[in-house]
Amino acid sequence: MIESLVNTLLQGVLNLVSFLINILLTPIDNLISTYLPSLSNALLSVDNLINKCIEYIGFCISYTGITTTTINIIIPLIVFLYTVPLLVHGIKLSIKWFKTLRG
Amino acid sequence: MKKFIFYTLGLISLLFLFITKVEAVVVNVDNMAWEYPDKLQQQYNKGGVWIQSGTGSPFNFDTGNGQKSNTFTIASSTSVSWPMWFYISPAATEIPSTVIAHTLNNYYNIYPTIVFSICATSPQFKPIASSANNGKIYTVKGVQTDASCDFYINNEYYEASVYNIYIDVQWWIVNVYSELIYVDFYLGINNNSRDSIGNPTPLMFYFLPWAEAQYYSSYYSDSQAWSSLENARYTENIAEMIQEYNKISDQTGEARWQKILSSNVNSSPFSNFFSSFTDSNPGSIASIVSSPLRLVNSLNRQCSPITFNIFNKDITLPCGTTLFWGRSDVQSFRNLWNLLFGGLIIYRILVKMFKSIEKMKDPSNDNVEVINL
Repeated sequence: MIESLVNTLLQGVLNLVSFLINILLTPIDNLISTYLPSLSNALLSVDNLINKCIEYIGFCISYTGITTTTINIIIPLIVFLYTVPLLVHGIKLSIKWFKTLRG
Repeated sequence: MKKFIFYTLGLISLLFLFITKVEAVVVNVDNMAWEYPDKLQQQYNKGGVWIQSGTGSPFNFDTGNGQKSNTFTIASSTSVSWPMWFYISPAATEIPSTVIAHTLNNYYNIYPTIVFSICATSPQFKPIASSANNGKIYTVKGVQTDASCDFYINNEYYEASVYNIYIDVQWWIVNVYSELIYVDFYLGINNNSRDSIGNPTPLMFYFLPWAEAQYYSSYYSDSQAWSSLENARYTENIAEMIQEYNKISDQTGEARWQKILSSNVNSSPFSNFFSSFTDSNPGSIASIVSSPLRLVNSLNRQCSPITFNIFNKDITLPCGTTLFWGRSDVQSFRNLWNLLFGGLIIYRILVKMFKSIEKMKDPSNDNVEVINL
């Protein structure tokens, strides 16, 4: 029950973060792809490199000896660590904008 | 101090790894060592664990004349067209043999008689299967029990011997008995399955040696099959499936299989966690910004041995599980290691998290007047 609740909560947070990231960065991405295609290619290379690293992360972790149980404990902690502060700051930013617009 | 402890533990880990298996860090793909020969030997000494023949399981295994008569005819299965994988549960004295199968196309009414043996170019091991998809052609010749089973792979001749297949109780999946065999195993399949209108149905069987499912996946191009196997990588899942099967073993036919297929194969709470977090625009800034989350998502990804080709020779870097951590005699050390190393990681994350929360709580760092809203 609690696990499900936490999972749902974190998933919601993650969706929101994903949404915010996409909303904020999509115009910039469009600008880059339209007017700076070479930079777009460079970004694609960086992305490919990251994907390559991600591809081998299972291999690296297998050498650490960490079991899936431990990893499954670590993952939500990391997710929490990186998403909740971002969400809080996002909310802060939204409130700041709101207050600014309100005068 | 904490860094010192952290790196010391890391060095100890590597030391253990290289002391025990340093010679196998870089191995040819043909030299893959098996992890649990000792366990299998123990089982064999206890009287062996053998796949149950008869009609008590969804599959009707035909072991010939029993344990000693594993002279299997290697039936042709070169016309396989749809993938299938199966588990063979522990079949020790206290647990009856069962076979759990899962067909990827939800076709459940299958009762093939399969016979199989292991053809190994000892002391090596790698899977060999008749597969229409992986682009390799395997030809087996002259297979007999306790005899040579030399074969060709892509016109290259290999000297090999027949080995028996036993089941490793502790490690829940079919394993192969022999001291560091591993070579090639092949399945001989007498396929008498029929499709819904009674026509013979070709089958593809995937052996699923536990720790190396991903290793085998490199041999198959059918990503759908192996992505499904991804869901079954947790010990608990296998045990659950076996338990589930045992619970409903009194049922037959469709009901049984539907129950198995609908069982909670993937109990990982994080399996679908990132499902909605897709990288819709690769190469974009959004993609790069979100890469840490993708990285986190892939932390529980199953290890896949790295294979590359140098001087026309396939070189494979096997997983740490294969080399060291998967061995049965280091499991207690692994538990201790997880307590220390994993605990330290978790501790550091928690400390960082608390600091982060403290920052959020800091009034000087929080100018938001929530009450005004």
